[in-house]
Amino acid sequence: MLHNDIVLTVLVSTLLILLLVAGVIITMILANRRHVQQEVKMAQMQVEYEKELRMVENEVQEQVLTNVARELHDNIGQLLTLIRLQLEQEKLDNEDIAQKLTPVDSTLTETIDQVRMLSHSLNTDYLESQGLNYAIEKEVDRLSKLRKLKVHWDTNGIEPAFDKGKRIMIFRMLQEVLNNALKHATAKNIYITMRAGEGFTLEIKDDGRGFDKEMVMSSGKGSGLNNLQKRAKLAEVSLHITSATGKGSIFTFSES
Amino acid sequence: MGMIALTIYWLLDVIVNGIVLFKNGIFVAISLFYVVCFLTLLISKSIFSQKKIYLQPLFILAVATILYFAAIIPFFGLMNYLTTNDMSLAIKLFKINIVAAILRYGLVAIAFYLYGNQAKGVHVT
Repeated sequence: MLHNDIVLTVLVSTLLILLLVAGVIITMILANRRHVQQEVKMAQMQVEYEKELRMVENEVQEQVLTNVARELHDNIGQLLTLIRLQLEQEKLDNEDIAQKLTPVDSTLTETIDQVRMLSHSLNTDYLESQGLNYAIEKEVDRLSKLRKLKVHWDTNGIEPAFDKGKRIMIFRMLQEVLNNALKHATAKNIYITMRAGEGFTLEIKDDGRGFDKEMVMSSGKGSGLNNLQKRAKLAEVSLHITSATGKGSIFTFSES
Repeated sequence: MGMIALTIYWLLDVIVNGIVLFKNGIFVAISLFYVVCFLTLLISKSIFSQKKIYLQPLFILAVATILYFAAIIPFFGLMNYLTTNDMSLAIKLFKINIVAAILRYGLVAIAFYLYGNQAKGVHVT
């Protein structure tokens, strides 16, 4: 074999083998890229699906709460008013027991008031017309009348430019935090501050017993907190929780 | 298993025939074995991996091994013929091995760099 033939044979065969290998490797990279794109698409679809599902859940929950609110207002509220009228009639008919019925009448009046406010709190129809400031003010009134704690409400008066769905979600999250403060925190004071206009911040601070966030989350008892985080994500606001045992807690919802 | 079998075969050949000549056949067989094994590894990686494979150290390492052994097969296949008939040509063509080795260890260095970066990333989070 000639000198040049050998060189040519070795070089050409080396190049051919390398080309073949390069072809295989490039095919694999392309296949992998397609696979990764498909995975990303699947993950996005999953996220979209979960978002849709949560939206539907929220809508169903809102519908149920609206129905309960209507029942409370139209049915139970009316029955309580009727009882009150009968009581008034009884007081007029039997003046000798009127004195005894006075505390019953005052408890009944308070019950009617509470039912009306609870119905108002569950129904979010007015959120669209009256706004978040008004809804929170009504919620503060309702909680204050329970006389379990003092609720301090501070706002700059500007209505955040959110659609009804987002307002409802924020309002429900606020209710959840307030409910937790009532049930678990044994707080004496709750401070609610809302600032809207350039950005949005809603801070709920209590002076209750607080909690160790890491411990609560790791012990599996933080389903409420997890749920709040998920709902905040769905409402496209960020939620920051600051709390320590014995030092109360601060929940801050914000949007820049 | 295949690697062990080929090594045993090479050892037996050296014992029986001595090490006078370069063991072309066995070396080519070992190279092919490496290429096939690492190609299989690459295929399985590319099918099941959910990350970009060209950024994974194992992928780069496999490519380095495949490219090196694939590139040297023709030259090492003719090694005995060349050293017997034309030593100067054998020395010239040995450059293929040098270039392939530089390419291989360059890729190995990249693989280690990527591995280091990924390990650091995991540590930080």
